[in-house]
Amino acid sequence: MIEEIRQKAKELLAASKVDMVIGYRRSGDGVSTVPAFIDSAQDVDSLVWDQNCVYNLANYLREFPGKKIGVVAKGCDARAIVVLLQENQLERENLFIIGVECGVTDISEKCAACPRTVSAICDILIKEKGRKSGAPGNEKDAYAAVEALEARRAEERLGLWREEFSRCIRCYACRQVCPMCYCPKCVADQTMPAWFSKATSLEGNFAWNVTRAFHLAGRCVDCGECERACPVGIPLRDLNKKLEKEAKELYKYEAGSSVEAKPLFASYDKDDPKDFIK
Amino acid sequence: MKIGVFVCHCGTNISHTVDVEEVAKAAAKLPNVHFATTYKYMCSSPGQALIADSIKEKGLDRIVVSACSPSLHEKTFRKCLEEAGINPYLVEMANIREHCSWVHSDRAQATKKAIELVKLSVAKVSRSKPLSKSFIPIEKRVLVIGGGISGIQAALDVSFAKFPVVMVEKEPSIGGKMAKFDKTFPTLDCAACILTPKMVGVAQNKYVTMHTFSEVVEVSGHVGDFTVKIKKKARSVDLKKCTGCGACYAKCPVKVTSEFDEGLGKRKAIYVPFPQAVPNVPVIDRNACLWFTKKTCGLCKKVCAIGAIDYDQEDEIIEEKFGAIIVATGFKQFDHSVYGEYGYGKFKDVVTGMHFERMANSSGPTGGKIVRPSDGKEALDVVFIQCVGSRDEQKGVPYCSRVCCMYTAKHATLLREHNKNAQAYVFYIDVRAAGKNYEEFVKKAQDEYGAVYLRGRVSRVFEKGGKLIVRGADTLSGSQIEIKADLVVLANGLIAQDDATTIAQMLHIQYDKNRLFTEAHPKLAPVETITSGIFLTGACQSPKDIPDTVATASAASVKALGLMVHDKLEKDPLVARTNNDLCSGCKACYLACPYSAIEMVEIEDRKLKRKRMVSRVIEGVCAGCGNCTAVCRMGAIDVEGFTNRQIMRQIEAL
Repeated sequence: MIEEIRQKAKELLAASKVDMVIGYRRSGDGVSTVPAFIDSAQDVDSLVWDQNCVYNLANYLREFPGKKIGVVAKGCDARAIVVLLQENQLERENLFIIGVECGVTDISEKCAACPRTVSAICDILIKEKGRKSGAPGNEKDAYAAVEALEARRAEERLGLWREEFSRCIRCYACRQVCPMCYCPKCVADQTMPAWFSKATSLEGNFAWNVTRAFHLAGRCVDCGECERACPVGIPLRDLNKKLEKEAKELYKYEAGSSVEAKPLFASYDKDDPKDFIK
Repeated sequence: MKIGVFVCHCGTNISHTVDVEEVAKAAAKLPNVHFATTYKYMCSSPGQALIADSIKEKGLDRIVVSACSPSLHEKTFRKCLEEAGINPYLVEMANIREHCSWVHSDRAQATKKAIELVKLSVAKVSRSKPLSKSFIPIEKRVLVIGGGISGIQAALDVSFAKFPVVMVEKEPSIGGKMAKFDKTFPTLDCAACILTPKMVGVAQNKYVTMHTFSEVVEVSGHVGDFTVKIKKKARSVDLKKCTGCGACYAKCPVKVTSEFDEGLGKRKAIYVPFPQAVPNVPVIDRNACLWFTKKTCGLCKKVCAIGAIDYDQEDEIIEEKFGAIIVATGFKQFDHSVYGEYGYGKFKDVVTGMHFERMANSSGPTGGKIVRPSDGKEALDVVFIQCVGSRDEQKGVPYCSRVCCMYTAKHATLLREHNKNAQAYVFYIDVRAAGKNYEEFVKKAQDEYGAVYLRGRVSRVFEKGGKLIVRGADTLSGSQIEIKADLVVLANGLIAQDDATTIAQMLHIQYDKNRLFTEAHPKLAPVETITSGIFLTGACQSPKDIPDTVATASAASVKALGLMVHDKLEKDPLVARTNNDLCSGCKACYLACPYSAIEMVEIEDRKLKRKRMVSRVIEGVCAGCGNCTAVCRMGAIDVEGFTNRQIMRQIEAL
C-alpha cells in the first residue's frame, strides 16, 4: 500500500497537480508517526503507512488556502473533509484526496467498531491487498459504551461526568486536534461575553466540555482524536457518540456522509421530529 | 450610567398581586439604578410624563418599565424616551403582569418574582446600545405573477393608483381558469361577460405591462428592491406586428386537442386559446407545427400579410426591478385518476366539472349543448359526484375545496336551463354554501330546477346497456341506490399548481403540506407572507371562489400600494449583525435564515493577509428572529437588542 501512496504522491507533485502532499512520516522515536508536508517529488519516500498513522490530516487542510493539496485520507479523515466542505471551509477543486482503506491496520480501539473504513469522498482509493473491500467493523459495538451510560440513572451519570471533568486542565488539546474546531475565536477564549469561566473550576470545565460536545453534534465524524489527545483521559468520545446516536435516531443524519447534505443544525424540515419539545 | 426603574400598578392588575412599592424599593438598590418609583398607569399621559420628567431632572440615561408585555407598550415607551431626548432603544420592559401578577396568587412569591424580573431587565438594559433606524429605498413598481382573475384584479387596483405593474402569465392569454367558465354562481352572470372587460382593461392600461407566455425564473433581493428575471418564451408570432386577423390559424392544417376546451375540442398548431384572448395574438405550438417538426408547410407565414410570423424567435430573458410582488398563481384541478371506482378514463361519459363548463359554454366545443362525449347525444340524466379529492385524507387532500358545492349547484341549474327534460342527481357529503346568497342558490337548484340531492358516497360507476350505472348510498333513507345516467360529472377539488413549491422556493415564501402558500398570519395577515414585500392573492393560498379571490387581490394590492407610496421604508434596527472577526464563513446562518436575509460576501482579512468569506445580514430583509444567532457556534452573529452580551448579563444577574 505504501508504495502506491508514494507513487501517487510522486506523480501528483511531479506533474504539479498539487503544491503539497500531506501524509505521514516516521517521527524521531522510530515508531510513531507525525504529519508530513511534502512539496517535492524527491521526498515522497519519507511517507509511511501503518497502524501508527493516527492523526486526522483533515485538520491541516485549512492552513493552506488557495493551494492545491493532496491528502492521504483514512475513512474518518475523509468524513471530516466532507464536513469541512459542507461548511464552506475548503474548496473541493483544490484537494486531491488519496483515500486509503484502513481498518485492518487497527489504528486504535475505535477502529474495531468503525463501519466506514472506506473514504466517503476521494479521487483515488488505495486498497489493502488481499482484503475484501470495505469489510466493515462491528457496528453493533459502536454504541455499546453509550448504551451502558444511558442505562444508568441521571444522577449517577452526572456524578460520573463531574468526576471526569474535574480532572480537565483546560489545555484545549481536544480542540487543537479536532478538525471541526476551526472557529476564528473559540467561545472559550471570548470575553465579550465571557460564556463560561476560563479557570479550571468544575463549573467552567463542565461548561467547556459540554459546549464543545454540543458544537460537535451532527458534525463529529468520530475520528477519536480528542480522546487520544486528552492528557487526563476524559472519555470524550462517549459524549460525541451519544450526540451522534441522537442525530442518527432523530434525524437519520450521519455527519460526513454527503457534501450536498445541509448541515444538521442549519436546516429545518417540516417532518423533523417534534415530540421531544415539551 | 443612570438607570431609572418605573414600576406600574396597572390599576390593580399588577398591584393586586405584586407589592409594587416593594419592587421599586428593591430595584433602587440594584447596581446602576439611580431612581425607582411607581405609578398607577405608566402608559397614561401623566405616567409617561413622569418618565420624561425624571429623565430630564435626574439625568437618567436608561429606563426599565416594569409593567406589561413589550408587545403592548414597548413602542409607547420608546417614543416617550425619544421625546425626552434619549435613544429610544435604551428602554427595557419587565413584564410583571402577564408573566407574574396574572399567573400567580401568592403575593409574597409574586413580589419576589417581580423583583427578579426587574433585576433581569436592569441587567439587560445596562448592556443596551443606542440604535438608530435604517431606511430602505423602494422601487416603485409591482410585479404580479399570474394573469387569472386574481392577478388581473391586483394589476388593475395597483394601476389605478398610478404605479407601474408588470404582469407575468405563463399561458399565451391572460384570463386564467375563469375564462373557461360558462356562468358564475350565485348570480349566473356569464363569466366571459364580466371577465373580458377586465382583461381588456389590463391590456389597454398604460400602467400595466403584460408578459404572456412568460415565466418568472429567478427572484433575488428584498422588499423595496427585488430583481426578477422573466423568461419570455418564443411565441413565434411578433406581438407588435400581429393584428389578430386570424388568417394564420384559419389556414393552419394541423389540428390538435385544445387544452382550453379540456380536450373536448380541437385547436390548430397556430392558435389563440379562445376567441376573447388577450392579447389577441396567436402562438405557435412548436411540438405540433409542421414547420418545427418537419420543416414543411410554412402556410401561416405565407398568408400573414404583415409578416408577423417569426419562426426564428427565441426564448428571451429580461431582468426587471420591483418594490413588491403579488403572487396570483392560482390552482390546479385535482387529478381524480386515483378514484378508479368512478371510472374516469375508462368511460368517456365520466367527465369533470371543468368539462361541464366548456360544454355549457355557447362558444365551447359542443356549442352549448350538454352531451355525452361518447356519442354526442344530449345528456338527460346527469349524476354529479361531490368531494372528488376534497375532504379525503387517503386519496386526496384533507381540506374542503369550498367551491365545488356551489359550482355543482350551478351545473345542476344550467343543465335544466339547457334542457327542460334533463334531470340532475347530486351525491354529496355535506352541502357547504356559506356565502352571500349561496344557500339560497342551492335551494333554488333543488326547488326550482329539480336537482335531486342524495347524501352519500358513490361506491361504483359501471356501464350497462349504453348507460352509466351509478351505485351509491343514500344515507338519509338508509338505502342503496342505482341511477342510470347519461353523464357523470365529478366535482374535482382545487389543489396547488404543479410548480407551487418551485415558485415558493424561488420567492422564499412558505408553503404547507398541501403545497399551498402560507400566509404570514392565518387571521391577521392573510395576504402577507413571511417575506416582506411579497403578497398572496387567490387560490394559490387556499381554495377560493371568485368573490374571495377578487377581495384578496384588492387586499394584496393595498398592501403593495402601502409600500409604493413611501419613498423609503423605515426599518427597526433590531436586526442581526455579523462580527467579521468571529465569522468562519461556515454558512450555517445563511442556511438557517427563513427570510433569506443573509448573503455570503468576500472580505479582505488583514491579519491573515488574504480574502475570505463571511456572512452579511441584509438589514432590509432581516426580521430579527434570531435563528442565525442560535446556529452560530462562535457567536459571530448577534441580534441587536438581544445581543449575547445582554443575555449573558441577564443570566449572570439571576
